Amino acid sequence: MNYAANLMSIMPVLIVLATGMIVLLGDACSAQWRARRWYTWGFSLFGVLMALVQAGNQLQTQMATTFSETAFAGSIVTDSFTLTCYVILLITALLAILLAMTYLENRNLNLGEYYALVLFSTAGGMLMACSNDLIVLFVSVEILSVALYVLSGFARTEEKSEEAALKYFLLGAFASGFLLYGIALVYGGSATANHAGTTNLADLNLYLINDGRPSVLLMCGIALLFVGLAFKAALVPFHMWTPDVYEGAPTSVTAYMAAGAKIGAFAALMRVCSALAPIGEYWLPAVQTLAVLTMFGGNILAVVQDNVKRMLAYSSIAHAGYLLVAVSAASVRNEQAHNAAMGAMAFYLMAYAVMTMGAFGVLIYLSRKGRDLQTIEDLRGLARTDTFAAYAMLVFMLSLGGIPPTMGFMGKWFIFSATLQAGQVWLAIVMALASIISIYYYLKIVWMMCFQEPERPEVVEHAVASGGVRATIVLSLATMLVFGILPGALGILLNAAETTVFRP
Amino acid sequence: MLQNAWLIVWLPLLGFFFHAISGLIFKDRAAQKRVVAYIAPGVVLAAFLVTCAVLPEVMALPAHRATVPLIPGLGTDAPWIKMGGFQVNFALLLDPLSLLMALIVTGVGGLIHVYATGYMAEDPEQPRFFTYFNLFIFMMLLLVMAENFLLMFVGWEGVGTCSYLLISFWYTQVENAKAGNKAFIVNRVGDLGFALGMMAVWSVFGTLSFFTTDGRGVLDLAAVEGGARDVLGNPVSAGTLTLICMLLFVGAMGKSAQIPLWVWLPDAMAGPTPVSALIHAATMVTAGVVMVTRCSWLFVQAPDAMQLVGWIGIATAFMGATIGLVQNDIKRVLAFSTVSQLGYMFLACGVGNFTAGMFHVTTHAFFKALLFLGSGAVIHSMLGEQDMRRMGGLRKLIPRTWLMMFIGTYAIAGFPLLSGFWSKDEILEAALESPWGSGPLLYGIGLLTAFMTAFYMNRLMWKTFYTEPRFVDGQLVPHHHSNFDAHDGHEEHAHAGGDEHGHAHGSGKVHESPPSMMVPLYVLAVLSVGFGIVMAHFTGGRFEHFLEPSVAPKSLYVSALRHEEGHAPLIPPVVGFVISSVVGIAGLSLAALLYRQKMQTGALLPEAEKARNPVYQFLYNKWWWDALYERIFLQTGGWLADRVLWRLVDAGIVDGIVNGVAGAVGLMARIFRRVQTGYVRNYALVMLLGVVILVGGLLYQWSKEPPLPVRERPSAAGVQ
Repeated sequence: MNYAANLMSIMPVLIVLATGMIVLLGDACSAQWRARRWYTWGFSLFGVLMALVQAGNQLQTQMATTFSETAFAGSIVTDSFTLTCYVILLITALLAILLAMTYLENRNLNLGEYYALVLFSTAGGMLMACSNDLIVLFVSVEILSVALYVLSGFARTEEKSEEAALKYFLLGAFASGFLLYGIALVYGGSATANHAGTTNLADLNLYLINDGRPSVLLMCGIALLFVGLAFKAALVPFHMWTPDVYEGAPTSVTAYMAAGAKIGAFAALMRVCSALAPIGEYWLPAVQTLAVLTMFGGNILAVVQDNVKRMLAYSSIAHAGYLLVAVSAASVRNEQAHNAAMGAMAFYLMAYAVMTMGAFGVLIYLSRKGRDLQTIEDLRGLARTDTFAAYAMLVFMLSLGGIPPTMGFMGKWFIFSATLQAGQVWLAIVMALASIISIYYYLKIVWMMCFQEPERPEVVEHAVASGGVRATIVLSLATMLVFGILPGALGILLNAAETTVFRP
Repeated sequence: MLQNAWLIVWLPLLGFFFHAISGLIFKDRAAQKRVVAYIAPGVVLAAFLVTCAVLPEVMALPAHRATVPLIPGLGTDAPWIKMGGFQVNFALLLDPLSLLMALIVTGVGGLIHVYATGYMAEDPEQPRFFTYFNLFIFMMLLLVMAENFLLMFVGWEGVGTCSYLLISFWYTQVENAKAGNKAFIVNRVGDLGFALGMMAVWSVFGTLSFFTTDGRGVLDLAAVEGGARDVLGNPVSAGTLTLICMLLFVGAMGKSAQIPLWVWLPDAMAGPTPVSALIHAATMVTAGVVMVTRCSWLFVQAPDAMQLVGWIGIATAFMGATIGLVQNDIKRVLAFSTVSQLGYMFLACGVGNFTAGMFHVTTHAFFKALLFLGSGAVIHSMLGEQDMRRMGGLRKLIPRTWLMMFIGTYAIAGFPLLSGFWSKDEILEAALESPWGSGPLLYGIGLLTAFMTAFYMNRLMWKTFYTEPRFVDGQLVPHHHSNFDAHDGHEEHAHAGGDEHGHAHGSGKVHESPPSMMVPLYVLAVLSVGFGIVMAHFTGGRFEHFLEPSVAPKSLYVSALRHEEGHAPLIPPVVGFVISSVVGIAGLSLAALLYRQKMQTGALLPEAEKARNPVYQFLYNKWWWDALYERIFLQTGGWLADRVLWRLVDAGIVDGIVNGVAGAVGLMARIFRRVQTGYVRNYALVMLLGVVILVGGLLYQWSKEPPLPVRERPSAAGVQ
């Protein structure tokens, strides 16, 4: 494979990276503040749209030819799953950029770096989805994370934001250490008398299919790999940073972080677990335990939160648990269940990303100049004072709770069905029980908005109600409802596993 | 044109959207009403024209059947839902049955829309009325043209919703709202049956499509030579088919007002008269017959279910006719006659002559719409009066409306050579030849019912048009008034909340209706007179041949019953013809003879006599069905709900568990949140704990699991 073809296969990533750099340079070069503000925002949107078109085209070709290609000496793989994750990530980035501008201006944070950092971390997430080698995986995790560390401290003058950034960075570095150590152990553990070890996932997959019993070293490596990725995905007990960081970071960053970072982490987790599926018996119980802990931990702790952002942080932890259930279902040696689970995860990631962006979008929409919306109490009687925001929030809450006819419901349904296909009935039951708890705190918000009298009955003028925020909310709302009723229209997501490389 | 058949359903839908937002477009109510009054009938009549254009193209196809996309631009296999092996398409099925119904729905529906522009002209809420009305047309078309059970079910529920919205259109009167609720709730029972039947169909046949091009549709599989085959190609047992058919028929019972789910239809007359004509006479209530006919391939192989359909049909026909004998509200008489005629249609289906059933659906749509619209014109002329005891002598005052009602009455009564005669005669003949026996009994009850039909319809004519007027300039003659208060509170309400709304204008005089209301009547009158004779006689059973591709062939039915074919009919057709004629004319004449002697009061029995007569009370109170349901479902159900389900189960057990679990969750949360100290060092410690557990867990598992069997090395083709 020649060099140009290699680059072609990661074209969407390159477009996003190039856009990020141009935005950064342009921002530095132009002195006019007013021109700059539109340029950075507009060009970032344009770049993401271009990447989206490119990824969509590649996905279409991919589906037509059912041919997955590897590039850069097998360290990058471009298959249907990769491209599906690209599309989901790029849509998330699109919504995040749409959301950001007026919010940042209101908080005097509208700097060009913001968009560049969002674009870089998106590129990192995309690379995580396409990496076929643990080293590439590590590098892309860092690309994603470093940008996010900076972003969470973006409100430089605010103590909470700074604290969030520092906490995230310290613990993230801690987790990266485990990840790298795990990679080293996997390399050592997969070495045999005949050949050297490998960090290539496809090779690892073949090796595991052939050699029945893994070594102790390999098992330790796998465990540490999981630690690193679990931190990124905010799985219990590696979730401790999540509520603090989500609460402290500017809301637009939180929205992007909750959706984008999770997509990247789960794409990587899915890749690793698929590669390790041949020895699933050894590590699957551990992953399932993590899933149960995460679902219950996230949901139970969300119940007692008064701060909306913290509540959504715990709810995102719970959703990570549901996604982990899909990963567990994809890790069985049953091709049908594996494909179904991969498709279900792609669908759920899409649903989760859109509904999370939507819910945070409403929070941004409601925040006033210089002050974020803080507690659930602040939403009291919203249906009276701002019908649009209240009903949008209602749909997002129902969708997060998994109530039809929303996309959240269909996503849960697909995960249930894949889990049952994989024969993990007990896990599906646990997931159902855990999601019952979640109804409580989602409906608490609905109850507060719709069934309580507002403190001041007059309609409040929100400072931040810009076109971009409204567009994000309306787009998310439409996605939630349209694909909740017509999930078949997103069939391409459900076929995400069509041309993946691994044999389970 | 065939590929543009989606227009048929889209036009009324677009009309619906337009009316729904018309309030935003027009600031001026009068202008809004004027535009809506053109758009609403316009889209329906346009859909009628499209249907007319599509019809010859479908009939020119070899199979007389076409599947076309519902959403323009997408293929016929554009999935609505696709999950694993379960796929439901957005597609329309065009065949003689669906096109016949589409013609009725858009044709008769269009005429009723035109009529309603006159009838509702004075109503301030007229745009809302046409919003629902166009939505109804869309849903009904979806129901009859659906390519699969699920899409049909969407239409099925949709027409139910529109029916509810329109019955309680004048919702400020609590009686109307209650009537709407009653219709909706009773229909739920039936809808559950339909839904269960649909699930059973899917579990047996593995699809919900009626026909598919590769011959894997439900009806394709049911039509296989030698009995229905399930999705795997195994024969389906008669018991399974019977279950499916009975469940589907429960759905039909609800929608088409058959015993025991008929009680909602008379109350549904609380809606505006065009609603009664369109929804509760001509189209929606025949949906059950259409569905049974559509599933005829299934029904003919379930003889027990067929027998049930037939018996329910004849019983409903008989019961409806007896109750119709004593009603005083002009619309209620017609409502019971609708119940009764629907019974006839199911009788036809039950004895396997589906085309006769559909023929009666068609002719009934014409003459019953004519009668309802005519009665609407009478009510309009009488400024909202619906009680026939306060009418009389209208023939002189509104001669054109009288003529229309006269034609309708003679058509439904089975007067020779009018439309109703042909279709009813065909059904009676089919009943006599019933393939599961009891033919003479069915025939006898059918004739008796026909006789009663003729009687009560002419009774209506006499009470309304011929006897002495019992009002002066729209006012009651005072000395009659005291007679009515005794036991007629219900109809007082219906009338007070009824059509008065539409007629706030008041010249105070009885007057003929405007042309927009009369022209549809003329068209329907022509069809009521001529349709039957043209279709059944002049063109030599054209109708039957037309529908043939849509209904199960007789051979399939007979083989399922193991019945000897080819025996001579019990009575020759000519004799049956004469008997039917004589019965119809006798009924009409008896009413005329009896009422001729009571020109003054227009009543056969004095009011005091009626209160004492048990037979009269039995019939007047609708065989006590409502009282029975009140006792069983409302009182017992209320007790069960209040004492057992609420106080014991819900408040005691369920709330106890819920509150207990919620308390436990809250407690756990309060304990766990203490870990969230905010110190990074604590967070790192928790993480480290996680690492230890994860590594330990994996190694423990490793030490426990036996080594995996070595598998064959796969080819590397898939990887590189």
